[in-house]
Amino acid sequence: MLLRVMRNEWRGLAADRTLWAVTILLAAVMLFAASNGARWSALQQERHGELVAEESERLEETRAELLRIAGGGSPRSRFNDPRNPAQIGQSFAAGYALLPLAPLAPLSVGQSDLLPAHYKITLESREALFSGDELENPTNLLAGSFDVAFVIVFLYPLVILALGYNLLSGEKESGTLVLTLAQPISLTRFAAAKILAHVVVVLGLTAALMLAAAVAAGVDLGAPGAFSSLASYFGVTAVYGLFWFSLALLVNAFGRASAANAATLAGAWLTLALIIPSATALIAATLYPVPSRVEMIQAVRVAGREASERGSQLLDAYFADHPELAPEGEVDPGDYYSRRFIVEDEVSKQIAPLTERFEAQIRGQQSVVEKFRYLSPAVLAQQALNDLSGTGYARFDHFRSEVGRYADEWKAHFLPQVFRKTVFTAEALGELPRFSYRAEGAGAIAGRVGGAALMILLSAALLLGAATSALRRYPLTG
Amino acid sequence: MVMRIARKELLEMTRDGRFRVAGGVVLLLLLTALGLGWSRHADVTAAHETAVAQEREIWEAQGEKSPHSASHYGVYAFKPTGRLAFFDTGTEAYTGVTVWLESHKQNQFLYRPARDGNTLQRFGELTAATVLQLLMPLLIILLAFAAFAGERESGTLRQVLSLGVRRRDLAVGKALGVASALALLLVPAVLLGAAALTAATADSESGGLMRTLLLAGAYLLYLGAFVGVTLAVSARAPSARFALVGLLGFWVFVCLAAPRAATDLAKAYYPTPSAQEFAAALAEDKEAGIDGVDYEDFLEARKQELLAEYGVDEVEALPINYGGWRFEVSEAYGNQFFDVHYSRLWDQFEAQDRLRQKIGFAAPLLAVRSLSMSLAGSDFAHFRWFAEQAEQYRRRLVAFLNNDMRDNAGAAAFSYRQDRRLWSQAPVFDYDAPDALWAVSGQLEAVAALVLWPVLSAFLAWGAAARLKAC
Repeated sequence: MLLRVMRNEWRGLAADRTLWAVTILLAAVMLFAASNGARWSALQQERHGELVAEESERLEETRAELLRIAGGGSPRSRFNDPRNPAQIGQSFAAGYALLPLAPLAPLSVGQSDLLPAHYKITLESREALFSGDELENPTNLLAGSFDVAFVIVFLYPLVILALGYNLLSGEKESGTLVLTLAQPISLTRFAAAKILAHVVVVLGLTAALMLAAAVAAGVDLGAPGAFSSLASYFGVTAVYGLFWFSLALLVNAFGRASAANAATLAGAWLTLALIIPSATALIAATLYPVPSRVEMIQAVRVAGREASERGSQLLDAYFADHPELAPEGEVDPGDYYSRRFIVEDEVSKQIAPLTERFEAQIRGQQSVVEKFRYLSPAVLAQQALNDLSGTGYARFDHFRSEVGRYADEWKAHFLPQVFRKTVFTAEALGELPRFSYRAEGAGAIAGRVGGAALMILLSAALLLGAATSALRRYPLTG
Repeated sequence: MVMRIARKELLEMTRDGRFRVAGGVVLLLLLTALGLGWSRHADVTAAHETAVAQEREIWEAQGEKSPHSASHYGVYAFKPTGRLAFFDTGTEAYTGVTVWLESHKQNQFLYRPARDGNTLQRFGELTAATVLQLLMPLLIILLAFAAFAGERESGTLRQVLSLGVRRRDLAVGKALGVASALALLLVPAVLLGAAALTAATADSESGGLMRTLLLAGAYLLYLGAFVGVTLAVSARAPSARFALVGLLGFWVFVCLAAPRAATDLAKAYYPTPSAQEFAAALAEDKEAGIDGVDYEDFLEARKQELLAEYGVDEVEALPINYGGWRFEVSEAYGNQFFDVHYSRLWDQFEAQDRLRQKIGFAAPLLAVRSLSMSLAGSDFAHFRWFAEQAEQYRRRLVAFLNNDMRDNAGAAAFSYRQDRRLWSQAPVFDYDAPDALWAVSGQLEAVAALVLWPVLSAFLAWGAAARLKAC
């Protein structure tokens, strides 16, 4: 009986123009989104390639220049001398730290348009290293991108609701509901069969379209982890879909007219997908206002001035604390580079409390988001899809801490040479620390994605439970 | 008759529980967004004012050094937040808040506030403008989708028409009914907004009032378009449910899909260069010079002019400090390239934004959003206006320092020192915000789209009402 109802429902869907319209529309937006994602990730890939090329070209030139000077040539100028380790670390050999694109990157733009996926590592302070941005029109950042994740998080629920808003109310309004229930089938089973028929159609369609989109977006399914990520991507989509199916069923179970159902579902979608996320963002920003960066700049300026005034004093104090770094013989108080880095170090120490305040406020905001996100399956799904595409906030955060670690290593490599005024040679160029991205453990991502999927599933189950109990009181007439 | 219909519509809506709930939520969101937006705006403005004063003090207290060292020390310029940005924050979260003004270089702006925010910001900021742009149209659809289709289904339309009520009176009455229901929600918000605005513009230059009036007009046109479209669809739809689903689809296209699709289209047609490409192209051009005139040639030509002017044969014989003069020549040389490259970059961004305005003819949200950000002073064009003024100021400041060295350093080179006396005479950055007319002049396509939409939709609704079928 269940199968018969499902078959009948499929026939009904196939005969209705809505399904075909929806299929064509969904296919069109998925392919459009895939082509956008493909363009964006190809562009990023190309940019990374340019950076790598620029860096190795620069290193080659530096090597040639060092050999030329070693062979008796003179440097171009005092400010352009690769024998000086400070200048090597600052400019000649400054390397890029790149965040590699994950295989599914073309599917979600996520935070990748806003947060940098590369930093140039010099001997500057961390604040300076991290302050740079990629060029972008702010209006583009404001609107966001039309990517596959957008289609899944926002449009795909609407497809589910457009097909299912009159699941029972339609039958009731055309008079077929009472007729059907005269057959040996309960309303609950009938409703379950109908919604199941929808689930099979929509999920089947989505799976096919997603695979097509991944191929169209240029996702290399042979890359390690790519296929399983795509499977998880679809898994999250399926679970997210179940939530909206359950919601459609629940709203239908109250037995109201189709138009009322449509309005209620539209309102629910609006609340869950738009209002709750932006209201949460506003609440987080109000509870934990991040001070303006303007304050930070002022603090750096003031601390910098005070520190430079005490330059030679700081120099002595620094070498008293770090005798292993001290140059042999007398400390030269006029040594520009030694002074500069020690002053910068002092500035970083001075403004540490302020930096910490910034980070504490951002963490505070993020903790509000973590709590409130359970209110909105759209937020959970968006985060999970971004995580799977390697464009989520967590991965960029991890990248930043990796870069921070590397910047420290870079500094630790050069500062002793700067203080000791080591003469830098072509051989030493081969021994520089280089950045290689250590990815977050697969467990961390799986944990986050799995947790989100579980939460969505749980809310779907709750809705289903409520729907079942509401169906028992379904008003067949009136 | 029209008034009677309008009154009946309004009464029906205000009695409807759905309208009360939906309207209440929208009003609450609108007032919250206005209130929080206002308080945040006040904080940012206060921080900005403190920073500007403090920065000047830091500049003046930089101590004794050569004017050229002072030009390397530089100053920071801080972008003020738009006067009406509490209403529409626009791109403020995505533009850097500060730029370092130093010699030799035009720097990029730093610190986009969005990087310091939480991840949910990308779902869209809740501002009074977004409530009006996204939620109000939805409320209109909810209020009016059944205007004709519902009455047709319940059979009352046939009755009303049989009484000899003219179809068009019915349409106008219904439109007025929806409009007065909306007014119930908008009037308190407008009053609050006006009060906040008066406070905002009390101590600053005029132009705020003009901008506010234009904003109000823009939103009236935008919401009017939705009233027209909704009534037109309701009059022609075979059933109320068909009308609702169709209108919701229209809303999704206009308010949700179009803005994002526009971003990708804009980036595809007018690609944004990477920071690396931008810097490399600038450096390459600077190295090559204009028409083969590189820095050495440029300097040599200027030097010959200078020597001729003073009637001497060598720089040592000049009565001015040659080093200071040469610094300014190198600025003039470099500035040509900044002008070319930054204009090219910003023109590209403006081309992207103009494409967005054009898409406004298909999706009016893009038109109203563009115009609203512009009137609120929070769009890219206003950012550019500020950035260009900051750059002009940088050039004035560096020239002031170089010229001091040129005129007063004599034969001394880097041993020449200046102190607070000179720093305090340095030009002050006096930012002039553009007026409302300037803002609108960049928005002609958006204005055209915003005028066209309500006219066209009223026309459609008018036509559909005339051919209204009773059953």
